[in-house]
Amino acid sequence: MSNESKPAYITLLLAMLHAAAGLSILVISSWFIAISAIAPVGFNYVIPAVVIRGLALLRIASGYASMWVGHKDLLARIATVRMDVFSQLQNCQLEDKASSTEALAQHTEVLASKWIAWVSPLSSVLFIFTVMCIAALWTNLPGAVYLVALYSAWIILLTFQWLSALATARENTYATKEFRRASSHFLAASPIWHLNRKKAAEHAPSAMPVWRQQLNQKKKTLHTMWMFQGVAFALALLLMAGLLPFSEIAVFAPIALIVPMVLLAAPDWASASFNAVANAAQHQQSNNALNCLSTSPIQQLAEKPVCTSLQLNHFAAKNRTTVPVTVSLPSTGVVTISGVSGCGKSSLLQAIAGLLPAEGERSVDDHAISEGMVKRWLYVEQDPIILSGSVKMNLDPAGSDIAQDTMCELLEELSLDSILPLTNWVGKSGRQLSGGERKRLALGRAVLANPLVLMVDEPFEGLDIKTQERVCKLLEKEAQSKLVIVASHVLPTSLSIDKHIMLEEASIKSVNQHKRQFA
Amino acid sequence: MTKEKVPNRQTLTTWRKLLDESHKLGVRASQLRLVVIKCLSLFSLIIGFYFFSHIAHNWVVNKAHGANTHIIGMALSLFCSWLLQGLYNQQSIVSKTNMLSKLETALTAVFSARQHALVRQQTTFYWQSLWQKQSHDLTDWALEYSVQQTIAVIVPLFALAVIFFVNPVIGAGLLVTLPVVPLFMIIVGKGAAALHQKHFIALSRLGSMFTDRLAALPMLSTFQAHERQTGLLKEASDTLNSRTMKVVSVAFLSNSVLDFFATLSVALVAVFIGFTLLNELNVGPDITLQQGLWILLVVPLLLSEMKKLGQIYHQKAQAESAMETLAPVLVSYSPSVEAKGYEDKGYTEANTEASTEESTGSAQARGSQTEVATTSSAPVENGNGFLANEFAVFDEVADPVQDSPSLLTAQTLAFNQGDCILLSGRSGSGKTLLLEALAGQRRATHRCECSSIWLTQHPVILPGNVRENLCLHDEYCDQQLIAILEKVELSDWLKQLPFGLDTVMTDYPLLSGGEAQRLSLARALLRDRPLWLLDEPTAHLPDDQHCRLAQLIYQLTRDKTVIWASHKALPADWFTGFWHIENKHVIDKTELGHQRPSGEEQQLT
Repeated sequence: MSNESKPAYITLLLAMLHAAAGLSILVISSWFIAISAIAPVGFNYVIPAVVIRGLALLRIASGYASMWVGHKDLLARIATVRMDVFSQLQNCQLEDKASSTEALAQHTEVLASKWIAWVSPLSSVLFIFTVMCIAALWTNLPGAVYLVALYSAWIILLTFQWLSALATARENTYATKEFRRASSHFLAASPIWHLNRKKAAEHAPSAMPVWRQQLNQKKKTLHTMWMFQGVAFALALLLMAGLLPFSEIAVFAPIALIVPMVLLAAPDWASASFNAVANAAQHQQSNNALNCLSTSPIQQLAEKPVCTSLQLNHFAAKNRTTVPVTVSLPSTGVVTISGVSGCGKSSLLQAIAGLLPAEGERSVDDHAISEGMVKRWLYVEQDPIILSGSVKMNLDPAGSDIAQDTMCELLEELSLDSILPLTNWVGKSGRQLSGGERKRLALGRAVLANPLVLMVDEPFEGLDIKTQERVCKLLEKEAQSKLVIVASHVLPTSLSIDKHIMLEEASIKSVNQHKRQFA
Repeated sequence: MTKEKVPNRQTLTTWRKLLDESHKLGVRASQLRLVVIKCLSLFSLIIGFYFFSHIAHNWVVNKAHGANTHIIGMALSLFCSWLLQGLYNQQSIVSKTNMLSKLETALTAVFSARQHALVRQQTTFYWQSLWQKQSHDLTDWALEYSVQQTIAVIVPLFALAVIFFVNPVIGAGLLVTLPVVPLFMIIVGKGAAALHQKHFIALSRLGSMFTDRLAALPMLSTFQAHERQTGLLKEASDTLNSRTMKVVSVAFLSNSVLDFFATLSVALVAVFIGFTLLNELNVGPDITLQQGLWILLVVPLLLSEMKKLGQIYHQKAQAESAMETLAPVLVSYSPSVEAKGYEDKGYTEANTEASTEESTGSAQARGSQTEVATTSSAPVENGNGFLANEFAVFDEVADPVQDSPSLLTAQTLAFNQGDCILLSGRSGSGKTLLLEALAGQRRATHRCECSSIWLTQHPVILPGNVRENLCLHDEYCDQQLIAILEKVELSDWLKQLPFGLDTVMTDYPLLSGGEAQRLSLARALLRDRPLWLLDEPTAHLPDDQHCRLAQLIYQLTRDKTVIWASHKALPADWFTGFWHIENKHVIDKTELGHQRPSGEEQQLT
């Protein structure tokens, strides 16, 4: 851990050096000019001139170095945080869809950017401010009290900003969630917008609450900065006017210029701290979000070959309005499930595979098996996921050294030779696959994994007749050695079917009937 | 080398102008206001520095308090500067809120006009991020980055003028070195861009890997591939990091160039002034402490605004990606189309095309398409019919600057009130497109302006209760609702519901596919509209259900004009006309006799 944080501390150190050098240049320069104007006897002007130039070089170098090290550290951190999250999610299912994966990526970024986003800017301002106050008091610098006054104002302002930033970040999360929910419903209803007396624009949800919170965060940061600027200017003015009674500006020495210069420049050198507070609040929020990540574990069961039969007894996916099935499936051959769309073909297949919680009983060779995903019972989704990667990677995601020739042959059987060679990049920022190609690639992936039971969801959708026949042939070939279950609302005539299940349409009547029957 | 489609600043500004003109966002005015306020604030600050340097001069040289005029001057100018800064902050938030709400209005207006035809083309997530995030990105760029860009040019010029006025030698020196800064930044920026280009594909592939694998979690666990993919992810992020560092190391130089000049100019100016004051250097006019301090305080302003620009540089990149998705949606549509009204009755010679063209100010107007629009048929004045010659449907979200090909054409399309037309064609041939064009949800040469009803394949069930599902924002009494449910044969279903009309529909409502379609049929029947557009309402039903529901629809819509897209068998004697779509062309087959065109019922979607 300490080794990991090393670059972070180096970044912090460099950032402090950068900030301190910048302020020192200003302070020393103004003092140097002032003292040059009155040129006391024996004044050695070479040293300050050299110091100023040295500080300039130090500032440039430390600026670049802190950026470089900070960024390298950031990238390493992103990698670590993401690997952690990813490992943590092994055999889990994210409860939400697209929005949550994007949000998760963003949260990990926020978490990883902790050092450059807020720890190092905030602590470098804190560091130079504190050191300056102590040094000013210690050396009895004229106007040191004003500096301390500004310091206290800074602390107070930051505290207030932090408290309200936290609340705003929380409200932002809430508003975002609310907008996502409302807009999902709104967009899903697009086919019936035209029936509405009100135009879509009139009953559309608004993203304004989300934006308002985001702008609010910005507004508070700007406001705090502005208040700080006001205090700094007022103090500079009071000091210069010599209005306050305890002003020690009797000294009128060149050194007296230091504090007013620092006060006037304060809005510049302290501004990073206010942005840092807003970032810290965001960090807090992302941290919470990652901590209460909603996932559902996928229970893994040992491999279970089907020797004689697979029986389902009043079996159905839980919490869905589908009619439970009671059926016995052979150990080999093609079993088809058909029925109206929405009658629960997919959820039944997923329940058999153990990807969805189910009710009823699922037993292999008369032994009931508990809930969970059985290894090597593979389910091919209706709209399968294609990994962004090479074709080879997609066919063999587990890296089990399948021969390349086998892969190529299988792709040809599926008439997918167009996506060869195997090194071709598919998916995001690669070759885009059509729906039919995705289905066949996913089917190929499942076949290559040599499953014990193969479940395929709507494999024929979007395929022309010739390709459908090829898929049928492959399924039949696989069915010689294992159970192949196909859910589809179209069944090509060329598919030889060993058993057909017609799913009853679920409706309130049929569900109630079943409830009565098995109550 | 493949050319990546990265819009440059020019097109980003062009898009902004297009949007500004077509939706009256008033961005330009807000930008100007912000620039003026911010510049005024900085000018008063410079004046404040002037008075400050006078007081300091008095202190150090004359060992006396500052003159009252100077103190008052400093107080006034600092106060002004501070107030203006506050005004700037406030205006910035206000104009952002304005622009966001205008963008939202524009977007929802597009939704109102294009409806399902537009929404169905992308995922919900796509629309949500376009709506919430990308509008915000665009606003940030337009009202923060762009504004800062202008300020970063004006303020240094003003500061330079002040310095020149005070001491021409320092001014000349800075004037010579200052242009070097942007020059270096351009060279470094070009270098970084070239490096980025070189790693572009790897960066974008590896960068999206994490979200990609997250989305694939269940698949990875079924294939026992999690560990292997974790390893790959680790490898990928290592490669990604080393490649990113290569690009970033150069990109940071640009920042350092700024820092270098900013720091060095302050340091050298200070040394120069000091030495001149000490009479060690005798170049140019003499300098007083007041002048020296003033210059010293003004010099940082030369580059500080440029530095602030660097800090919000990410806004530009975000706005570019936002523009790519947002602009085509918003620019392809302009408010003048909507002004024509949605509820107009009768015929229109819809030259939406031309009006879109004009109002968006697109210089590269598609001559050919405008011609098509102007040659469209003269309106026929009887009831709710439709007649279109040289009919064409265009790509909705195509880049309006480029020529978009027509998606569907027809020689002549016509129907009269009370007609019932069967629309056939293979799945994917464009049946839905034609219906959308007729309903005015898609850009086409003609549209039927009489109010219509749509039934789609997938009935929409809202999360509210049954009553809300039927009424939407209209009001109907319970008797009416019960009567209509009886008409669509849902009385039995209604009786089974635990709370009748108040039963709330959940995520998995107690409805079969057929029942859901009947419910949406009931919803449609409640609204008395002359034209019914049926987009395969029975496609997903088994044959017996399909027959029963089709029969029901036929009976309930006998007094309406109906265009029925279907590739399932329907009795030919229900129809007065037959349209068939083949090769992006609509053919009127009515003349060929009342036989159904064959060969289209092979596939379901």
